[in-house]
Amino acid sequence: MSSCFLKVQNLRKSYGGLVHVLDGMNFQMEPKERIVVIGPSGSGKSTLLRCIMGLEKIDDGRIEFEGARYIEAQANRRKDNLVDTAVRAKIGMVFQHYTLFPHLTVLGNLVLSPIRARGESRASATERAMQLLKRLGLDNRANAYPGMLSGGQKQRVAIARALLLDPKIMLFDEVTSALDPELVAEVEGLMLELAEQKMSMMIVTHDMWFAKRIATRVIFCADGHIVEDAPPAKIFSDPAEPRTADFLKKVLHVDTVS
Amino acid sequence: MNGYTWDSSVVFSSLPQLMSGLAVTLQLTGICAVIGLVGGFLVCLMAMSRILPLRWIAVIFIELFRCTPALVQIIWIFYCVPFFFGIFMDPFTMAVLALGMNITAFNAEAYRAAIQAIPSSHYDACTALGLSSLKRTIYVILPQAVLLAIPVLLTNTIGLLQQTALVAIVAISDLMYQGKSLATQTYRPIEIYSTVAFIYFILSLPLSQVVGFCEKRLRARLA
Repeated sequence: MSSCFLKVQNLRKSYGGLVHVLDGMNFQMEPKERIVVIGPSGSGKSTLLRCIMGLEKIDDGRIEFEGARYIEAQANRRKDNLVDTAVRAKIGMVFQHYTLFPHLTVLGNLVLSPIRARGESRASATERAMQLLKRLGLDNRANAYPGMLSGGQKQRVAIARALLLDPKIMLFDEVTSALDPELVAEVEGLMLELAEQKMSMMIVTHDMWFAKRIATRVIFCADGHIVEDAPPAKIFSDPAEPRTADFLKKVLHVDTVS
Repeated sequence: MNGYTWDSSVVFSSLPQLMSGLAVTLQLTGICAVIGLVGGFLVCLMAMSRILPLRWIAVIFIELFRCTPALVQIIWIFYCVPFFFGIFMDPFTMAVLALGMNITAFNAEAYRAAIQAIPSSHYDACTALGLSSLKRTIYVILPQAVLLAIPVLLTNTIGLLQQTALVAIVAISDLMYQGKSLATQTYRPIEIYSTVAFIYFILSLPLSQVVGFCEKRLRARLA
């Protein structure tokens, strides 16, 4: 067994055997890579991330993480295909719609999982959470409820909530898509900071300029396949595949990202 | 007014008896409200359960009590339960049973609507955060469901307070029953029934204010 950081092999998923959302996806990822997944809607980008998080049942294929068996397609499994739940704890995910719990304060949202799922003491979890919030400039909102925050603040809190669990890799599923345009920068700024700290990331986004800025590698998906997998400089200026070029032309209205 | 003159002294002289009726009404409301809050949640869990027979029982229960008039339920339980099942209870217990089951059915629906209002992405977030399904239910779903359900639960409880008046028909000495007997004893139905109505109103008004307040608070919190 190769001891690759993240290895996705022959991942397949369909709805009712008709719509093949993932039609045999293969790729490997090294630590500290930042892979941005782009592609038309329905191309399976979000589903790919959700599979890696273990939120979706797959029809075929396997995922290994740090050389360990993590997810494998098995017959007769009701919900997911998790081989090892402990592996999932090393993966953090942030969603499009924040998913902060409205009945808990910002601090309450952050410490919920460390205390209830990991058995950390309230004192220690609170201290770590406050340090993290301070670093993100959100410590003054620790006792606010999510309903009182702006969209950008909500999403930064959601990122903090995932970070507090010390993930080895962070998955970002269109985290700026629901934000007002003027609030996008603060969330992207935080992600760039994480990039500087060498966090391994997989990002699904429609923002090509941001993709170019943060990615070490870009994967272009269409119809459940990986069409092209290249460094950002290459894919945005000189895409090898006509489908990639066509897609970029449509979303950018120009030939290349300058 | 047809030569009828309002006699305030009747109101005052009947107050002690009305108050004893009110005590019964409040007792009945209190006990049934608690039954409804707890029972409603349990029936809701049953109605959403993966175990089909449990779900069927809960759904049949809810629909039976939602789709028949409360007055009919009270009379039916009072006359038919002893006949069909050979169970004999004192009238107050019968009334608690009837009203308690009625509000349980309505509260179960309130809880269910609240749980269904929680976005499915919260379930994904819990998984991503490593919370087991039990912990997810206890720490994420339940508190949100209760918060979301509070306005409807309170509204149902106000409805319960009004509905207790129906038990007068099976000779339970609640506020309405005492009013009825005083009205026939004194031949002053206008004064007596006005007073009875006023007492129900005074009891319900603060409760409905609380509902309005809660809704405003919740809208701010859950925005």
